[in-house]
Amino acid sequence: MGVSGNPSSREPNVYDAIVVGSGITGGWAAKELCERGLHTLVLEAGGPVSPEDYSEHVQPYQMPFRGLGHHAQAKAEQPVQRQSSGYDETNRHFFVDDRDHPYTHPVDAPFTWIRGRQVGGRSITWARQVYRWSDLDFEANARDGVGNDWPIRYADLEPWYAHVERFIGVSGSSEGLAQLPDSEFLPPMPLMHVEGVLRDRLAARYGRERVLTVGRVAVLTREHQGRAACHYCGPCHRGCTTHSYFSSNGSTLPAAAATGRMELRPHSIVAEVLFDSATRRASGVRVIDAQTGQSREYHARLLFLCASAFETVRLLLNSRARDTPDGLGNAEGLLGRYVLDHHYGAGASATMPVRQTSCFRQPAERLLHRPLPECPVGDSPASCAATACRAPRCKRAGAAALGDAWLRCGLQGRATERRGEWGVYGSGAAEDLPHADNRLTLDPTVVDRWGVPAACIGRWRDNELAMSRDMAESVAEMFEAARRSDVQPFRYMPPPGHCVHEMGGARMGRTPREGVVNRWNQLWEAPNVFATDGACMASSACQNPSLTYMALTARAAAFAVEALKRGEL
Amino acid sequence: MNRRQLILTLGAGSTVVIGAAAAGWAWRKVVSAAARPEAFSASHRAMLDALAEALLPRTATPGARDIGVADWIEFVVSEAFPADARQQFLRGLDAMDAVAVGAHEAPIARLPAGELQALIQALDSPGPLVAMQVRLQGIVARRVAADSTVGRLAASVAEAPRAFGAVKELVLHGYFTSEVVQREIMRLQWA
Repeated sequence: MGVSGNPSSREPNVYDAIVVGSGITGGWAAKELCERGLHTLVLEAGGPVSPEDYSEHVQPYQMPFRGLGHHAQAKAEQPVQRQSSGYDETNRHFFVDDRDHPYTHPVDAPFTWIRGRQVGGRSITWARQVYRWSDLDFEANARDGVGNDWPIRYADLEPWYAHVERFIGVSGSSEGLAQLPDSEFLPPMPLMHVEGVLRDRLAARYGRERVLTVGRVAVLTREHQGRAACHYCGPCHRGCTTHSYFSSNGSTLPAAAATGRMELRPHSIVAEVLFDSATRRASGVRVIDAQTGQSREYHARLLFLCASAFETVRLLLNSRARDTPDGLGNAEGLLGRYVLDHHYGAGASATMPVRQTSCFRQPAERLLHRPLPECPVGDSPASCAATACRAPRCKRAGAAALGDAWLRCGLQGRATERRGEWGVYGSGAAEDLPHADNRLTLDPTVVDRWGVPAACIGRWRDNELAMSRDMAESVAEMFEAARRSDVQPFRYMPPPGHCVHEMGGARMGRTPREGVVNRWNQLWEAPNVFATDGACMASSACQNPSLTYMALTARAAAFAVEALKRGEL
Repeated sequence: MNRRQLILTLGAGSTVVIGAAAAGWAWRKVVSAAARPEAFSASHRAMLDALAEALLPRTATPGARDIGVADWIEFVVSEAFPADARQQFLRGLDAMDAVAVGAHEAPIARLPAGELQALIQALDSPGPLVAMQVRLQGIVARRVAADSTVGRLAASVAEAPRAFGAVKELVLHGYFTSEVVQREIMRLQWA
């Protein structure tokens, strides 16, 4: 039974809960709130998505530009979005038109903000990699004295990780690694032969210190929750008509809809959270219709902000009223501070003569994990000593990562008889440390197409640069140890944002002075508002963050519904 | 005709693989459907064709010419490259031809096979760009040591390796993404 009783008796535009955003966390909030009985309005800034929008089975030769895309058009319309590794000739409609969605950054501090405004958000184009955090991550801030101590630990999230994994389906291999707790796995995808050789040689050299395992992905290796197993067609980032990888569109939103309690409104840009100073609660949101430009208000007793980290921060900054002149949740001046991304791109390549005559695509990356925090050799000893630079993770060691095996294999040997010389590479994704001055603010002069003030975003630090050097050296060392030839370290360090793991800005803290949200993702300043996307992150660790966002969202939803029922919200 | 329509057209027209000609036909349909600027001269086309075939010659499997790789490159460059990138690409072709004329007294399209291979090796050798440029300069200088055009060739020598890299990348991409190679040679059967 709904908290508000029979939906048909509701006032128009009034709901039990409003969820802002329909991406990875918005979908989870919708599912959990609806299943727990709340009549929920889901507001999505972008348009609807249908199976015709997916293009994973379009072959290279069926595209006019064979996957290279229309350079001139992309440069003119999506100069930022086209930098995303997931952007291609057939799926550019899953990325915003940069002309309509401006943002700014200091001239000397570029930031690449990759955005997808459509039902499902970036859950359509995400990399599907899912890794639990461990207490090494939740305790890192406290241990190093950098950033604030997380008010939660692994034990708080462990049941919620499991809850999420059981629904989304995660394939992977249990390894018992302390720094990377095992998920509840579906069967792993097999390693290719060449990868098995590499794994064995690394194991012989490093033992359990550096373990190569198959990537842990929200891709089904068998039928699960009514969704078909992956058929390995390759380019997941173009959408999946069989919903074999997890997306809001194929999983959480249908589950929410099945309750009969969800109302999904696309083209609804939430411009501000309405704050009632008498009750010290949010009363609802003001929405701009993306198609007509008209404003309207929706009201609810509970708000979940799941617009993506920086959009949620921007929304809170834009929620200015008499009692919240600097934005909702910003009484302590913390809102927008300590923003993070992962840095990545450094690693090494090598060649390995291993006879294998078949090549295939798999949507899983390979994971090489160096477990212990080590201080990289760098030119910033002070920051190393202070922070014990957190362990970079080395991934993508596979010869056939993602969807480019077809080309890679083709280039290895012109015709089938010459295959056998495999190019391999490994590159790292690593932690970005929290700094108060890494900050998202509102640009005082720039607004988007709908008149909403745009975000202004900031920079990398010495520690990240030192880690980047270390990643290249570490991967090269591992390839050397695996007796590979032609080992070439490389260092490519794209600007922040490029990893599309932007997070922070409304971090979790033990007190209102330490964080914008509390241990339940609840705004200290407005207890019926929950920010459960990446905005709440107090540190970044090195894992792909979506699984943690999902677990936090499900946990917050359970808490919020119980609090609502107790009359506390 | 928008992108999605183009893809649909192609999808409908390329369901059966007949051979090299089919792939060429498929994209030519696109070329004829799209209004595009005339970017390439006849000599550009001939040069690209010669380079592509030299990189991926016909053996037991089709060569770049069989696949129509040069025509596809012209389509991509003229249709999809921004104006500045298109101009740079064409200047690069001219630079390579200037080097060929300087070194072998003939444009790339008319170079004998051995000399074309030698030029490609010079343009494609691994190592720093500067070293490659020095080698190229040496080749050119040997041939036209007494000629006053050497000075003017310097810019072309500097430009040619990068231009060759761009051409090579497109040749490989066009070849390996063609329907014939994907389905008949590499025997990829996804989806």
